[in-house]
Amino acid sequence: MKKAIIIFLGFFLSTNLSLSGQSDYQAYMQKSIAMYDSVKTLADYQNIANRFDRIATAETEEWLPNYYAGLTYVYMSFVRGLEDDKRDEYLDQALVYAEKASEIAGPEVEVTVLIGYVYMAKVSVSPALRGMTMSSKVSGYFEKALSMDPNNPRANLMLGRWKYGTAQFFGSDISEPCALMQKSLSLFEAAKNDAPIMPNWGKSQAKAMSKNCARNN
Amino acid sequence: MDSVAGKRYSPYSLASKSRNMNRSILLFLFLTQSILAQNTFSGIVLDVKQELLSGVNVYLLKSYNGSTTNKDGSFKLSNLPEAGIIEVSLLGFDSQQVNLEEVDFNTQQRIILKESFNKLKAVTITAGSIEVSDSRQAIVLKPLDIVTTSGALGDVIGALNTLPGTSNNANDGRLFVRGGSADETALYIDGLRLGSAYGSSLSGIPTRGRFNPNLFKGNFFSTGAYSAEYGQALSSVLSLYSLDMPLRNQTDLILSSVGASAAHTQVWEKQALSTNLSYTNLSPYMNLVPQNIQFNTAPQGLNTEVLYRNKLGKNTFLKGFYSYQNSRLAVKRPQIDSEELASTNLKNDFHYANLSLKHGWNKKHLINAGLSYTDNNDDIKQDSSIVIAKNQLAHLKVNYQYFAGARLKLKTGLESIHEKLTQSSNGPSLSNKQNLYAAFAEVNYHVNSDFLVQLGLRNSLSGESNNLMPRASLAYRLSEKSTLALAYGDYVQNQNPSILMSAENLAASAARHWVMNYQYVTKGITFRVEAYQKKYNRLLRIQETYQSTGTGYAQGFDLFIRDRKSIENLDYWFSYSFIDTKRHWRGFSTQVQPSFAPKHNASLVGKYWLNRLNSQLGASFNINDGYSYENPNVAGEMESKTKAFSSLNLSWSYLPKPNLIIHLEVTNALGRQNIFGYQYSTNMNAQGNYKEMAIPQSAKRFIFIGVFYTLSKNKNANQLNNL
Repeated sequence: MKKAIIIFLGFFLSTNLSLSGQSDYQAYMQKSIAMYDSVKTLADYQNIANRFDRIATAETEEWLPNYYAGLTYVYMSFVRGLEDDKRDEYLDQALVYAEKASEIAGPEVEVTVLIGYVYMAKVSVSPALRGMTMSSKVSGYFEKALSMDPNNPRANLMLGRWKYGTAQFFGSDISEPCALMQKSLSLFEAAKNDAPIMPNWGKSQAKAMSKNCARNN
Repeated sequence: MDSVAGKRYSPYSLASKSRNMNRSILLFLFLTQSILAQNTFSGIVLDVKQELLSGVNVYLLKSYNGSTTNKDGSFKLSNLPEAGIIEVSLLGFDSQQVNLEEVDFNTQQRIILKESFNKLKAVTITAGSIEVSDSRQAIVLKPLDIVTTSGALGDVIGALNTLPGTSNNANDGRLFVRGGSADETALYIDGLRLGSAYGSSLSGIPTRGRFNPNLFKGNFFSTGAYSAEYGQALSSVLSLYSLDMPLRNQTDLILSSVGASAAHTQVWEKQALSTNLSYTNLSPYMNLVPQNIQFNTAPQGLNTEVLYRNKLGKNTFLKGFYSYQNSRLAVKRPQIDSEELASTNLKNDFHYANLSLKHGWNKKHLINAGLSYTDNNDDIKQDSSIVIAKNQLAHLKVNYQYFAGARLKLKTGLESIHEKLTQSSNGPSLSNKQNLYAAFAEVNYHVNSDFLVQLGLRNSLSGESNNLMPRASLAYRLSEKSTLALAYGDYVQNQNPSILMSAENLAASAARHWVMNYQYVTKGITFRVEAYQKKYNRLLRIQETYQSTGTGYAQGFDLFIRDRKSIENLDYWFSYSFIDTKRHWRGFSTQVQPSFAPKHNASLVGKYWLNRLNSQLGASFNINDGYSYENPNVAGEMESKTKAFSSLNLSWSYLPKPNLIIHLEVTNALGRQNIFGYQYSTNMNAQGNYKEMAIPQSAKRFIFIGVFYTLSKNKNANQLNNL
């Protein structure tokens, strides 16, 4: 009997702990994600990246902390006034996180989009040098993401953005990228945010890009 | 900044331990205690130069409790347990750990971080080597440069001929490096030997590299003092690397003034197959554009390539490559001692197969194993005489690499090369077989980010001769932008199989290289200067018998400047090579300057992107001071020199749509009549002279027009890589 109580207690404790562990994770993730809204400087981004890095180190079974750490380093590479080498350093680090996320998650559309995003940012560091050789990698990842989930708003958005840039460069027709962007926007609008820590960035970009499309058509 | 109560152990580990109640209760007590603990850990983080570091992640390992240092390098962590590890990390620095049990919580901490050893930023071997890749270090050339170099006509070799250390022999087409003949450069694909590396041709008609450059992601071109991994090359090594996993299916079609080709890449989850089929026939072109040589059969042939890749496991990768090629041509050429034209027919049949396996484990070990096989068949008819030659080469190789941390790498390997030549000319066939076994070991050690030492040793055994060859390289970074490097090596190469056929035990030729290199790299600009000295021994001499008693030397320097920054959309490079070389070899009784090694060589290559026309305009200019040749009317040997060689090449690539490219290229646009040497009559004429006949270019200029069309799901994919 005593043993049974202890076992019961043990189970109670462990489930209780498990719940509060999960909710801690959820809460800390949510709080960190919310910090994107008030970012002003590179240091603010670094702070967020460090938070996700801590969670990633503690939660080795979760891909999202690695995903967000990688995403934050991509954002950091876009901060104005950075040297090319620094941008590359951030992006290499972003790729390390993205690959870790991919290892944990297996095939995952969001991670695939992120890897494409990293390469897209790498091209933007030196379009003349990398555009020709790296662009097939960028479009390759975005296309792969889209084939994994045709209704992922970020996959549609990023492929649209990439194709829009290429079309502008060549002065060719922008209807295809604009269709992707339009689809992305409607997917964003239809999306229900029932999992608050899942990636949900991109809606404002989709809006802005769709406006561009409307203006240029 | 913010901190959250110490996170407890993973719930799963507790659940599994629930059978062992005492432990879990203890753990529970411990956890409760840790939540209640109120220790504060605060201080500053600095680098070795005492500069404050901001953005440093300071946190309790395995918890969310942490903080990022401010501008003033300060941090503060509260609610810490009595025991635990504090991790201090920042991108670009070695992380540090602090054990809380050893911390006095009442004092301010001073934590010093050391800049980490970053492989990407560390100095690399620069002496004697030119890496063509997309990596950051490859500052001389990128893979795309190979195919967009005007005058190269999409040939890897053609592009390398604009680099320092090479001599342009435009009527030959092969690579001649720092006073070495073409067969002193060995070609490798994925680390395995490629025999008969150039398309078969006749003297005076330039050849090309055998494969479509689009199949390769990059290459490593060494102009001297190269690593112990390579042997059987007296002057130089060119190692090509085939493409890894492509990302998408794609079909490429090419229609050009010299033929047509179709290529397709199919990608599966773990496998990929690339195939290429091309047919070349210059006869319609030669009917339109007059040639200096009369062709009875214009150069024509079939080329097939299959590249297969399979990701067998997470750390295991298999690559297979097969190519079949055939070609033929026939010419009629004037002869010096006869009014009649001499006709020559050439037929070539070529197979190459290559299989390689790469397997790594624990991120510390890497094994590469592979084998290659070349089978080259030439059938040459010269008037009534027929020469049939079959060259076979098999290469087996195993490499093992051990990465002992980021700074130390050990590489060791075993290989064997089996070569067989079977030759018959109007009679019974003769053959010669050679087996070579070699072992090598190499240590690559970064003393720090700025100083690299590489020491290697190679031993090769062939027939009865055993050769031990030390190799060494040093690279030292003088400042952020400049590097000084030094390399040394001993090399041997067996005599040509056709010579060994009648002189079996002839010793291998030997060379000793010294190379010194200075490199200055700043954003968009590369400057390189390299000086070298080589000594040759046991070169082939042809007296009454074959002997390996020849000697020689080569010394000189190269300059290379590349600038893609000063003028917007313009990218250009300039290279100059000075070569002073003489060899006492072949039939000569004194030291002579070889015909293929002009003293002064220069190339200027430019590419300009014209946005308005969606076009890339390219130009290249090659010049040297002329080729030495033997003139029996002048005293001495090889004392004469042709007039200077020069060639201006122009190209225009137009991209009307992202997946369509129209490419126009003209080599030797000015139509300069270059001379590569003279042939002399064997008989003295009445004036006491030997009559001469110039060896011209096979054509005044070469004009290429091609349409490159790409089909894929992504309409933006194109064949820029093909140009």
